[in-house]
Amino acid sequence: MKTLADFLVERGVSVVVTGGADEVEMEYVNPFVNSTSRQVFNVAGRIKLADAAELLKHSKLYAGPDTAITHLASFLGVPTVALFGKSLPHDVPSHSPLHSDPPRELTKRMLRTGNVYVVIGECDCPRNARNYSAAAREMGACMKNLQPGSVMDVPGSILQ
Amino acid sequence: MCTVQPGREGALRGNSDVSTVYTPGARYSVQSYREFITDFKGRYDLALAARVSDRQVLFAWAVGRKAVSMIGPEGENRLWMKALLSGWTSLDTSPHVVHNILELGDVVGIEKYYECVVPGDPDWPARISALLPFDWRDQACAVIHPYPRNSCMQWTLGG
Repeated sequence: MKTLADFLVERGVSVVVTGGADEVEMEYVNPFVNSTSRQVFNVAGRIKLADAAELLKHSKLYAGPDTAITHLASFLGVPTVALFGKSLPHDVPSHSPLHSDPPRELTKRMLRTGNVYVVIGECDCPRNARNYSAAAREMGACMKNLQPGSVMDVPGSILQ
Repeated sequence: MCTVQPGREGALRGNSDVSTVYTPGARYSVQSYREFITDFKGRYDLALAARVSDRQVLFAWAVGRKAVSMIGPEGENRLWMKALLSGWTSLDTSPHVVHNILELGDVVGIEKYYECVVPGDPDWPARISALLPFDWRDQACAVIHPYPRNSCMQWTLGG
């Protein structure tokens, strides 16, 4: 996440980091923001979902893993970088109307559907949450193997 | 009325289509089930359960004179759910959970509406401006949400 945030700031984009007020989440988010540039602003725990949606509508780009706000960004039409591991293909976010345009495979590890780019982590597990073993799910191997280099092409092309 | 898990109320705040948001206790318990069913039993013409869940099906059955729900894919134990429900959609018929939820509209004869409408109020620009030290409406900005609920979905902090 730090590489991605720094990448955006280097291109003149201020970054807003959202999140819930849960203590565990704050312990994750705060060190991340503190390790980044001064143009990265932490609103985790202080922004309501509806307000975040309005902020998204004014944003040039959204990036996040498989979580509710990622799906919200995709439905709002915001250029979205969805960082996915084990969840494919059932939960891939899509711009509405849903799946009128099926996801197109840009590379082996990247899909595009409308405004949404799905970058997929690499591992040997089946790309299907319902078949995914508990052990592999715990490890999150797909996401750990997701290399920054394979992600940055997407925001780079969106911001051009 | 909509029922949501504790902490999720913000998703419905300001939504003019929702008259009441009901949040059970911080933790589900037999007591909270009993209270919910006692308070709302048979009160509504229609109850829709938008998740595949034993509990949601039971709640919908209890509070609605007609209850409609998503049910699990073929092969899972769905017989008792079908016995309680007036209608259902199957989770294995669509590739996306949001699409699954919208298919409930087909069951009750409501046209599907795909546009995402954000509930808001006149104060939201000021609230956002109070959080950010730059003009977020005019300057280029991006949003990153780093923390998913499940750790297996987290990207690395360094990434």
